[in-house]
Amino acid sequence: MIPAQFDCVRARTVDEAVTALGGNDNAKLLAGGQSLLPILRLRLAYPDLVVDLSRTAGMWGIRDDGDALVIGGMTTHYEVMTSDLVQRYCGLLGEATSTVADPQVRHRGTFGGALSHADPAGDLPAVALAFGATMVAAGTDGRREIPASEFFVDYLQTALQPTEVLVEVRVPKLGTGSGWGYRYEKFQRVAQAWAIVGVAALVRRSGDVIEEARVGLTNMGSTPLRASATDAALAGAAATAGAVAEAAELAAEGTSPTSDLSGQADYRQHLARVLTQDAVASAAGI
Amino acid sequence: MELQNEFTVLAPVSEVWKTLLDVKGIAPCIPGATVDRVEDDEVAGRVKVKVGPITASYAGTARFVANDESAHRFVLDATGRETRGSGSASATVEVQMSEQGSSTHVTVGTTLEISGRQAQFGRGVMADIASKLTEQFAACLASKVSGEDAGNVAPDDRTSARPPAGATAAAAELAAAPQTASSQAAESLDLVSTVMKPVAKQAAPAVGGLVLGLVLGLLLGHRRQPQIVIAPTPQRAFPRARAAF
Repeated sequence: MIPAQFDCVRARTVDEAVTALGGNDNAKLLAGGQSLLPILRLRLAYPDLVVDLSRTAGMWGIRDDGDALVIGGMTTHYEVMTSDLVQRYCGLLGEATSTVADPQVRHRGTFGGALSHADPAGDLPAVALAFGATMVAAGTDGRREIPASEFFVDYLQTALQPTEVLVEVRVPKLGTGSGWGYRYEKFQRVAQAWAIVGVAALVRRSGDVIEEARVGLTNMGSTPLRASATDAALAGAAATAGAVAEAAELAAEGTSPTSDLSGQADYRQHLARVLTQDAVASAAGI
Repeated sequence: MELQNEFTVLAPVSEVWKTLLDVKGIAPCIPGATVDRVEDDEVAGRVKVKVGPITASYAGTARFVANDESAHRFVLDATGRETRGSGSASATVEVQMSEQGSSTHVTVGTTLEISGRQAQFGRGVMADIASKLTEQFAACLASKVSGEDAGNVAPDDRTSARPPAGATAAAAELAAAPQTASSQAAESLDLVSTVMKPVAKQAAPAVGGLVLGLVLGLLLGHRRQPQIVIAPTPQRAFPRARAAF
């Protein structure tokens, strides 16, 4: 289907993009277009102006910045999952990104776009939450940082203002090099489908003890969630299958997932517990 | 799809009846709704629902097919069409109020049908929107009742009036409303029904729009409802769209 008519601005700089957004109260940013274009073609959205970021300077690439990796918002999924830096320092991100949709989408879709779109079934928001990533947004008043825990507000809604652009994301180095194990478990019906439920686990283990665990949940509510009860139960727990299973039983606590054709809410909660057990055990090397 | 909701208002039934049937007074409580015209027992209006990048606008009418003040019961038929696009939505809302001491118990039964692209939206992207809209309405209603009745509106659990995050202009006023905060996604449907009923009384037209908006949200979000047409195509389109943006 053909989208409704709209104007298009190709921003050369972030400032240009911000200015364009500010000049139209029904504008929409176009990153990789892998969600926006289907929405436009299905005529589920009618923006008057689309601001294209594909040629915008300063939004691409992955760099090492001390205790974190800084990933440009327009960096594609493919670039993220094949990056040596990501594999070394943020392995969970690479692993989860490699499960996003299909190769075509991964070559066009972007890290910043996926986070800004904030689909609760998207894999990367829960991963950003588990990492405790920081979003760097540029707006009319300059740049500001938004913690992942405050970034995801609701279905498809983030803390970004209408005139803000997600320029880059700081992802803390919680990788194998710093003692962290990781695993992204995703349950879906077909390979390129959205997660019915996904679980992102980061686990730091010292000998026979799990020192710290950070578990993020995909599609267990209107935003990505942390499995806080599981995190708390795992802190200082023995690195045994039994202890992990016990903590995983708490994974769905406080969640109210949606029900749809892929599964009812109680089924999703069951999946969250099972997948958390698998992901944490795998991340902890059990 | 069938929805059942109920809530209690700490005001006499006559008061609640009057508030809910005051179409123009209650219309501003409906998020995104505009009342264009009120004629006798028919109301014409529009509702715009926006979730992230997704927008749906409906225009339609609501009509009282039954309005029995002595029995405190009314039935509203609402239909609407997408203002851009070919989708449509219809709803029948039945509201029954009963006096319980000094308060009023309201039950709302809603039958919704939606067609068009919105109905085909495969995943639960908008599952919570109806709930959010309902919460806003309930909070607004509560504040209205309390304004008119010395702060006596106390929605029970099912009508908890919590201003949603990212509250819009309308929601700002809502914040002042007496609130109980226990809304869950599962309750959103109830809230919707609740909202619809009160509105229906006096804001039949607007209600129509609201119903449409809510229906829209419901359709988008809750495909499990057997009456919703589920087309495989969007289901495929969205997986391809995946987390990419």
